[in-house]
Amino acid sequence: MGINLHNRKIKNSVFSPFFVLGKLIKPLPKLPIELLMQHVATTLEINHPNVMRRLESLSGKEFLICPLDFPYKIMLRLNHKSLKIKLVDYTCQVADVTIIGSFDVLLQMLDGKTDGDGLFFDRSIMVKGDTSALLTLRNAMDSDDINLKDEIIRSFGIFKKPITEFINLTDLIYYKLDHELNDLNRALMEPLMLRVKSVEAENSELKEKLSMIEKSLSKSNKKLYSMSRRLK
Amino acid sequence: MNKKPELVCPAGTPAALRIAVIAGADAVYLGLCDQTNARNFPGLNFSEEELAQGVDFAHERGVKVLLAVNTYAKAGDNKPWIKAIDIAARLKIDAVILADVGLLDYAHRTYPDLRLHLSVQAAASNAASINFYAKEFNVRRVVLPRVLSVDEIKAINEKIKVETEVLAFGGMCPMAEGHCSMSSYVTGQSPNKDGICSPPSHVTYEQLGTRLATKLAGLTINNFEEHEQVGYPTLCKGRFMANNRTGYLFESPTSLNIMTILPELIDAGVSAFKIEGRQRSKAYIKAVVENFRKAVDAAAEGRKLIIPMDHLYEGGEDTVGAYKKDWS
Repeated sequence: MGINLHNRKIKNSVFSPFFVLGKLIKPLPKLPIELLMQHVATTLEINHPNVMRRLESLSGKEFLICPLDFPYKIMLRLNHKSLKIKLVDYTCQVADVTIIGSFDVLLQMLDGKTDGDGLFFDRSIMVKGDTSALLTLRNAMDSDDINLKDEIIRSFGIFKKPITEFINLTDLIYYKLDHELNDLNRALMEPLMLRVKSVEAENSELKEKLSMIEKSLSKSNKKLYSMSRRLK
Repeated sequence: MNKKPELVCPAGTPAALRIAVIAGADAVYLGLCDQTNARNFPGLNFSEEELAQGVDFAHERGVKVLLAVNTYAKAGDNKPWIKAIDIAARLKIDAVILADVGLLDYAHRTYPDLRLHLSVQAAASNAASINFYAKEFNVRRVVLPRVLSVDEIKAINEKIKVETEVLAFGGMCPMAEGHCSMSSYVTGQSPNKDGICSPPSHVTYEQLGTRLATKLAGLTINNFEEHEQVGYPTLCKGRFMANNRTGYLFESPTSLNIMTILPELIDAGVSAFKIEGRQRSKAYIKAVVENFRKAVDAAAEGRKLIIPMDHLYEGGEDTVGAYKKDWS
């Protein structure tokens, strides 16, 4: 299930390269990943002051971002003109707003490549909590041109070149892995989907039969009723 | 042969303005970050500085900027609305979209050279009403309410001298525009005065097993089954029970889309097509504006071009609404 914007099918599968990445990084300590994410958030803060101005009213609010294909949830706390990132365990539940979806979809939303409303309407993402805070965040992030890849590259200053090469390599690995996982996903899901379709067909046949039985029962009831009236 | 109509596109944020301009808008419409416009959503709209930058960006590319000051001024405190008109005149905005008679009068008297458009919020739906606004305030264009058929629009255009603009894509509004109090009745905030219909501060979503309940001010507006497209909870698009039947009493969640009747509307003398959606994302704006640019260009050449946009419809459905109404 997903929506197609700019001719690109957005997946809602948890079977993604982020799932594989999550399995690889799960045994590692959280701190370096957290520091890297905080570095990206600080870069966004510096490069997009107008976005931060739009977020001022949300000071103190917490957003729990739950990528379904990642071992951690990401807690984003908005302090006055700053973004604080913390990785939290998957059992953590408490926040003003919770956003649930696959990592790829959430990143595309941040990049403004997909329509967040559309994703919510077709249930590719789920949201809970303070709707006003959520809309403010969505509108603020959407108010500027944010390209996450460029932001990361720019943030590394003199290390721009090796970081660009590294990101290009991970991009390539991502798309290859994504392709492979799609094939795997299809192979696993196809028999299941066929089964679901046959159950659905069986179900609608049964529904039809039931409706016919109900109709004939109703007719019989009417006949019985008129007979009993005549007998009286 | 009619003049090629303008494509008027929404710009809820500076990034959306840039996207709309690049995607092919002839004009963009926008609002300031306050109650003076009918899309006063949190995190949306323009500061004065952003507006000035947006005007430069658009004008450099030959695109017009229209400022929506289309709510009704608050009794006893019309300063924010007056300030918005003053800003429009100072920044050389191409036109101001107004609904309030007092504000139209102020703008006309203070800035006689400032072009004025009558907002859909004024609900001017006949030639006499439109001629009144044209005569009294030199209104140059009227945005027609979404209750008129193509034939009625043609009849109106034959009796007026000002331009007409029609809503082309986006939300449907079944009520008398500018006079609807449904959201206000439930939330205490008026779309016509506070600029916000179904304020998000009053919206909640509740997952009930496989169903999703959408609520406005604690009232359940809809209960969506797992296979159904979810919609934003507005009272007019609520699913309610009456006479033991559950259904959409006022209007079902569906998107207005007039792509199929663009040539007919051009023949009816329409001067501009407006895409609705200042509260929607950049991705949505890009997709809709690009598609409508192609369709309007084709229609102006007498061709009908239909581009499927099912994925962008609210509730997964579209309608031409009253433009092709078979009721009176």
